[in-house]
Amino acid sequence: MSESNKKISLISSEGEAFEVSEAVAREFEIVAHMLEDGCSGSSIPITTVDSNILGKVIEYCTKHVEVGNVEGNSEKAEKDLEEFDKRFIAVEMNTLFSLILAANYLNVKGLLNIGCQKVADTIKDMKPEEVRSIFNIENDYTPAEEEVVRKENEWAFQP
Amino acid sequence: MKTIFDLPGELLEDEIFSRVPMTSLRSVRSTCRKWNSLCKNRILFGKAAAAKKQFMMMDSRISLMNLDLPKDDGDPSIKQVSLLDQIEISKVFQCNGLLLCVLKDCSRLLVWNPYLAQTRWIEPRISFQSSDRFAVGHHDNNLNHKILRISDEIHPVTSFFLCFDFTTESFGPLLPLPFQSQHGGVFTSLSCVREDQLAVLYQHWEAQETVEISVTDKIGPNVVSWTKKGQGLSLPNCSLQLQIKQPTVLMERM
Repeated sequence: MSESNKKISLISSEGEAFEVSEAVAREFEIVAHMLEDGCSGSSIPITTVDSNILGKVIEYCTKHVEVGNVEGNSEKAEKDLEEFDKRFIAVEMNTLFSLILAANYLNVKGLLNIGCQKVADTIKDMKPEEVRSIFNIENDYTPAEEEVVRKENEWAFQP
Repeated sequence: MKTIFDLPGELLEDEIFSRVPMTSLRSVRSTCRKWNSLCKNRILFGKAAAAKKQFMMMDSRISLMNLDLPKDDGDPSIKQVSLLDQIEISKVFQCNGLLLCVLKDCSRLLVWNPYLAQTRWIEPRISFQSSDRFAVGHHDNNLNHKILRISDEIHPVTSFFLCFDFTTESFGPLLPLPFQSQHGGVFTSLSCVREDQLAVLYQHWEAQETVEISVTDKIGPNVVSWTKKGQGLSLPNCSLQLQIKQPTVLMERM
């Protein structure tokens, strides 16, 4: 038990320190690897992630570690965690992409999964114009090119 | 301010587009040039295969069969692929989501990628023969597809099949099928299931209304064992192409 009480400081790009338990820090696979490679320091700089996003990623990992430690009643716990994930990822696009980038860099698989799934679910069932407007994408097709792509897709799978 | 363009291309491709159902890929491709080319870079089949859509050959046409049984009250919905309704097809092979269609009149072959909605015609150097056998596959970890054509006269023996290695371009030894054929009285169709299994669908000459299905427990270049699946199905005159993701290509009736 003594090991799980060990505290580690994660330092954001602004230099702000977030003190977390080793178990939470290990949810960041990049940190887990550093610890296994014998990195013994108690503070680890996360230079590409700002305080706002790092705080959120820590919140996500803390919740998942907590739920993972509770014994019994696993079905309810799993459901709660699903609810938590759903609420957690219901953020505006700027934060969503920042979270995905951070999860990708820090290698937090669960967070990367729910983030990418959220983007895919947003694209699903939308018309190209709607996708462009939601993600702020410029239509760089000429009308003729767009027509070609549309034609090619006419006989792709219909929903 | 972070946007979707801050994500690396491979993250978009591998983690996001692969989660978009294949029925929504039209929107992805029509959004902008970059997304269109990212989609074209890969054959989106992996996770999309879970969509339970399967191809079926019926009356020389390719049909798309939706196997979502609980929703459809037990009746799979079957829809003919409209683009391909002008051509009559005698055989279909699949490899990583690509379909190789052999035309009934043997004039040429059609390679079809249904997910990217692309087709390519393969013309013979001189001509194809009705006795030709075809298969499609590729090297390990390499998406350069190869088409195997066997153009010599083939003596039909229906109790064995061969494994062809597309990397070394050579055949393995004869492997047994799960039934004994007497006097050639069995119609067979081999398909791949998921990543690494082979299914054989067969009909006895005397009991043509019943189709039996066996699936491999174990299969390698030199070894095979079979398990029969369920009771016979009443489904005459059609050849099922089951899900395939890997290039295990095997020849029928060698």
